[in-house]
Order: sequence, then structure tokens, then C-alpha cells
Amino acid sequence: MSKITESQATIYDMLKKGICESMEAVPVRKGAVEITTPFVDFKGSPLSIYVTHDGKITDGGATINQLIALRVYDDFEGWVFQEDYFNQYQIQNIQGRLEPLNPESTEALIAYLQGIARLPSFFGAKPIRSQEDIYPTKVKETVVSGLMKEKQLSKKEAEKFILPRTLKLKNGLLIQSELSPNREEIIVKIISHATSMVTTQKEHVSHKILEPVLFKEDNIHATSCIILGSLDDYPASRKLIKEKADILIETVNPNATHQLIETLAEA
Amino acid sequence: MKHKKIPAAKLERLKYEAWLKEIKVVIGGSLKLTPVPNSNNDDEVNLAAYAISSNELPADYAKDLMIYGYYDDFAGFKIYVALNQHRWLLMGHQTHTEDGFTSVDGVHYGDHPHFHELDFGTPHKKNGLHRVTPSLHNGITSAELLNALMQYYSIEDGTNNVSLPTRVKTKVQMRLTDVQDN
Repeated sequence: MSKITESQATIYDMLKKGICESMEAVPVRKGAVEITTPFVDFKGSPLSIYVTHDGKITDGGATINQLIALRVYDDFEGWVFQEDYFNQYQIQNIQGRLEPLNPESTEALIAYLQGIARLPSFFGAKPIRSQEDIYPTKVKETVVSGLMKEKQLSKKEAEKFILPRTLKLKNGLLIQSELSPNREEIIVKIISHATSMVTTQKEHVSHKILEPVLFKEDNIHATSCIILGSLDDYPASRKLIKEKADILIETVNPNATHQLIETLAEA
Repeated sequence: MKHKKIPAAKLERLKYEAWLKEIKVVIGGSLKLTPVPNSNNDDEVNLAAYAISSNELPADYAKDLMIYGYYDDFAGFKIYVALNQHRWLLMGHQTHTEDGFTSVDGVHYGDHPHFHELDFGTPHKKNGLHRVTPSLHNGITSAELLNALMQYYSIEDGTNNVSLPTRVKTKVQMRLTDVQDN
């Protein structure tokens, strides 16, 4: 095997020195120190982590909040590789803050940095482009406030109901309920696109109805719950929705929130 | 078979500078700040991503443009105008590290709210240029930072006056309100 030449060694030394010198540790608020790393995140912004005054390493909640802002938190929560990824990159989620699983090991710490830098890139952001994009978010806000008010749940307890739930069919196919009712036999789908063109709307409705139909074929105890603004907004799909929904909640109705909360909280 | 070469998306300085000045419209309604889960601090908020229109940016950039923001425990609220999955074009930060920074006007600031613009002179430097505008002040709230960014960079959402969210009352808060009302 040939030896490393002088010019190769020079380049190696330059890079090694440059990477080390590009790191900075600077005091920030709350007595923490921000460590700027040579890595960049998915949008090309330098990646920083923090060391708190008591020596804890954390991302300060930035990664999870970023997933929420990009409207992909539900995708992240339902990601089948989440546990595997966190193990591979030595990451743990402590109440929304991503922390290293093994802070004693330099190698594990570097893996942690790379892991949090890469994480949002697995989920394509879903920027709001029209009012219909906002409807599922509004439903989820209603669920949380309704559960807190009607069932006296804490915000944290109520938020568990708005997480998506992955359901496995007998043939191995994975489908998703958009909310997590207490009863696991209930599959919930939220239909939006109330103001879209008929063809787009029909396509959206068919897509939403498919999984509840498959779930019901698979499980005789299954119940489909469809949430939408008003059935009148879907003239071309009205019959299909009425036929396939065991529980139909039209949020335009005054008692819709109560109906929704009871469906989700039913034991 | 030889593939037809697709023209590469490229953002040039002049295009970028024209984009900074153009009126950019938020698509999908007015911007709304939402509370960070499990937080009781009114200023700890996220801004859901909204698409933004542009006539000045090259088409490949314009179709993928969005604004969003999120809260960081130690750096506060951070706003990004960015391409989906690719690069940032503008940033707004509520705080800075205590050693400070020098703005494009040559003024040195300590821990002060600021914006970041792309630096075409040194594209490999990932923080770009720092800009401080008159409406940025110490102790600025997340909503004020967002309004300042929208105003300076002409981002229109129909209201141009984003406010902090009204929080859902917790069980204890509801009980306290009931006691107060009675």
C-alpha cells in the first residue's frame, strides 16, 4: 500500500483544522452555551446544539417544533423507522427535546448531531396553499380544546387523541386513522377540500374512504368515523360518504364538537 | 440515448435583490402563530408553513417557496423564508449569541434581534449577512418579529398584523376563572 503523500497530508490537516476551528461555543440565554457545529441542517442553516448550565446536551426543542411548523409532525409520529433511526443516531426524545442517548461517547455524540440535522429532510414540508389545508388542523384544535373542556383532560392528555394511529391489516398493509380514539376499532378520517373543483374533491373523498372500507372488510367490529364540514359541500360524493360512514360528523352542526369528543373518548 | 439537458435552477444576486423588494403574497390565508405544545409562555410559538408567491424569483424557486417559524428554548423564535427541502432565502431571529454580530451597516450589536440575507460574495458561509431594521428592538415578541420581517420584506398576508395566539385555558385556569366569575 502506498504512503500518504505530503500534499495529501496537507489537505487532510487543513480540513481537520478547519472543521475544528469552525466550531464555536458561545454563551446564550438561560445560562446555556450554544455549540455551533460544522454541519448544516436540511435548509442549509448551521446546526447548533446547547449545553445547559447543569451539563445537559439538548437541541432546545428546535427539531420537533420545526416538524410541527413544517406540518409533518403527524408523519414523524407515524414513521415506522422512528425508533430504528433514533437508535442508529443515538437520539432520545425527552418531552419534545431531542437529546443524545449516550452523551459520554464522542462517536455517539457526532451521530446525534448528524441525526438531528438530517431528521426533517425525511418529511416533505406541507405548506398551507389554500383554506382546505387548514381544515384538519382546525378539527384537531377543536378536539384538544373540547377534550379539555368536556372531559377535563390536561392538554398533554388531550393531544394524544390527535396523533395518527397506524393500523395493520391481516394482509400486512398499513393504514392510518387520522385521530386516535380510545377504541382501537374506530378509524377516523377527516375530509377537507370543501371548496375544490368537483374532480379534485371526488378524488380526495375516494382516497379518504378507501382505508376505512379496507379496515371494515378486515375487521367485523371496525367502525368508520368521517369528519367533514358539511355534507352539502360534497354533492358528487354525498351518497358514497353516507354509505361508508358509520359515524358521520358534520362540524357545521352545533353539537358536532360534543359528538366528536364522545366518539373519541368512548371506552 | 443522450438525455436532453434540463436548465439548472440558479439564483443570481440581482434576482435575489429584486425579490427582497417585491411584494410577496402569502397563499392560503393570513399567518397564524400557534402555541408550542406543553408550554405556558405566551411567546413560545410556532408558525405553520405557508406557501408564498413571487414574480421575481426563477420559476423553480418561486413554486417551492414558503414561510414558517419555530421556537427554540435558548434562541427564541426563528423565522425562515425557505425553499421546501433545499435552502433558506431569509431568516429572522429573535436573539443572538452574547458575543454579538456586525450588521450590513457596519454596526456591532450584542444579543439583538436581526434578519439574515444571502451573501453572494461568500456563498459557502451559511449565515449570510445580518441586517437590523429600526423596528427590531431588544425584548421583541415573536409576533412583533414576524410583523417586522413581513413589513421590511413586503410579505403580504391580507392582515399584516399577526398577533400572539390566545391559549386554550387549562383545567386549573378554567377553575380559577369560574371562581373569579362567581
